[in-house]
Amino acid sequence: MTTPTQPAPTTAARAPLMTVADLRKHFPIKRNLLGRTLSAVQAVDDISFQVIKGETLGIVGESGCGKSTTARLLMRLIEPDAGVVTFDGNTVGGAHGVGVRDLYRDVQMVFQDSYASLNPRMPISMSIAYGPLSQGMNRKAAMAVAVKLLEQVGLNPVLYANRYPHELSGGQKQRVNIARALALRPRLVILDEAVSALDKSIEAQILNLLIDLKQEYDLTYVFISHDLNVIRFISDRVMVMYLGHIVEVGRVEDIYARPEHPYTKALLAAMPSMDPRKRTETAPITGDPPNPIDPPPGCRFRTRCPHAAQICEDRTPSLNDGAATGEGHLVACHMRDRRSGHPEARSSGASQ
Amino acid sequence: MNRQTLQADAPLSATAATPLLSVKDLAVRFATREGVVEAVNGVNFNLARGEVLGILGESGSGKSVSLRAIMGILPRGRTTVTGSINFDGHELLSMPEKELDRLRGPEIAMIFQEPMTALDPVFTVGEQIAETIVRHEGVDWSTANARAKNFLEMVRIPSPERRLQAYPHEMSGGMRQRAMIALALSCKPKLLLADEPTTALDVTVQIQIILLLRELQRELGMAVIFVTHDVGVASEISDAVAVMYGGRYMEHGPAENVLLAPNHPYTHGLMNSTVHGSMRGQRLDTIPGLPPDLANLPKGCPFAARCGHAIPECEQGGIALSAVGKNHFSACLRVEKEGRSFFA
Repeated sequence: MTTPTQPAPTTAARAPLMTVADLRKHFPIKRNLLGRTLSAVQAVDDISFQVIKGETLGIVGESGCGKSTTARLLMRLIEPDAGVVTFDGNTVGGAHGVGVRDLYRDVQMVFQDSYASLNPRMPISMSIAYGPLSQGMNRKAAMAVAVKLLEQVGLNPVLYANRYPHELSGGQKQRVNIARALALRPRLVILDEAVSALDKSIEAQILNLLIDLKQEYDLTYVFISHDLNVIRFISDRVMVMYLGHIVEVGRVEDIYARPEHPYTKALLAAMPSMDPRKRTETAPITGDPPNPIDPPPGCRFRTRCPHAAQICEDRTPSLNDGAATGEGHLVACHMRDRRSGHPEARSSGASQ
Repeated sequence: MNRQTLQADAPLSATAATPLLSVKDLAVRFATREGVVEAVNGVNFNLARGEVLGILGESGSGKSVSLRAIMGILPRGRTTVTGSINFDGHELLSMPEKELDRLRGPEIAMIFQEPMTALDPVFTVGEQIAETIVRHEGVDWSTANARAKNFLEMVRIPSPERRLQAYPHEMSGGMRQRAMIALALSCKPKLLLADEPTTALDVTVQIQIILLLRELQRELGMAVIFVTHDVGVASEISDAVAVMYGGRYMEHGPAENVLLAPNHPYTHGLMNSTVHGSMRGQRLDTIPGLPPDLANLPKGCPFAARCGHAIPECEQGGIALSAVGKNHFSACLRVEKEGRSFFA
């Protein structure tokens, strides 16, 4: 539709808010006498991606895939071993980069455990006001922010402002956590399994709330979940992780309608059917995800992949090997790269 | 289509003849510092031999407590269980503990969400399975060991010979779950009680365990009560589905009817607030408010306060399951009075 001379109408909106380059975090679990690492959990291994301004980027994967470590690295709750994170053009951390104190003004996080993330000895309005206070806002203004946010997350300030976390239900506590995250008017909110511990009827209320707040405050979300239905519901783009690597990334409609990576296909096929007349007949893959301690060399999925070949052991496929099929749809699989030498390789983009 | 309907009906219609399990007016109360918690409030159902019943509910709905009441493993002293649980001709609630012990294992077995609660960390998996077989069937240890290996094969644990020697902590989550299933099935029970056995598993492992349970259920012809909060899991495993709320059955019937054409306003609300398929861009039609406080339950329908169809009489009490279709029951006063569903 757009000719080369005309920039795509979405260009301005597609500017990255956060850019992640070759991010790595290994947790050593065994060292020799000289302190050299003998084995390590390779939680996140050289991943690169962008979070686009105004989007919801869903990160999905099974336990041990590195999605929560990624969240903590983006928030700088843990220091990466390698790699660069830039927020709105500025490098985070390092001698000349943005410090965490400044970063937290723009990036906030909501965790799965709604109770552990609130101070049990503080009334909830105080927990919400705490961020603005610590950034230098006066007490009266900070409390006004808290009251307004309580209202916005659906908790009547008259009834709730002075309550303590233990007096609230799980859903209500999560509303407080969302309010607390928004108190500093961040631009990016990282939601790490933020609805996973909630019952379905409460989860739906919180999802509606998140969508409303995103619009109201012009937010960008990184939404991490193991729930493929929730990821599909809320995300604009989806990133699929497996054992510390990104295996596929693309628009939500491309990922769910035309998954390319054998792991993404298996993950989607493993979702329980909501129709008792159309039950799953065979499991898409067998066995458990392998231990993230010293994962297999090459493609990490090859030990469970029905298409694994010699090349998959010899060389780690990269997201950029094949050209994208859909808009920004990237897959780290040798089958997508005609030159890889994989017996089932086909030219990129040629759909079946 | 026809054949499927017949299959779904067959186990249910057999309940009329000789149910394996018949639960009447089951109620469970816990004495706590905050008062009496009314966890289960009058549950009634029959389970046929070989039938798979999925109990679907949110936290605090009473689904797990009902299961534990049937197994007889609720904490004594603080718990009052009333009503009747008849299993294959035995009244379980008045049965002495010693006799119950003879039923638990060979007749009724249970699996849990967290396999480490069922497996003993200081014995190998093989020792635990073999011990169960020796104890309940009186065979010698070498026969029991051979049988244990067969059971590990049956639950598709690779290299079973080696796995018999493994301690539970040496296995992955999925393998441990398989080992627990092997242990539960080692005496070929007639009834398996499953309390969210796939909830802690990854999605690719969960489907393997569901398929395994489905296959073993068919092979052994055992009845299963499968408690879950996940609509998809209930849909994959159940012949019949019961939806619980506030300690009661709100709706009970063939899985297709309950999940695809729900009759009760709560079931309908639950299905609408469960994100699935391509609901993207839609606003979720949620159930307002919070579940009831079990220490302070309303007299009438526990869902009335959140229900868009409630009328003043709903809060007066006298809510019971009534037939709304073949083997399909709903506990809604308005459906009963007006003789129609709101969602047809």
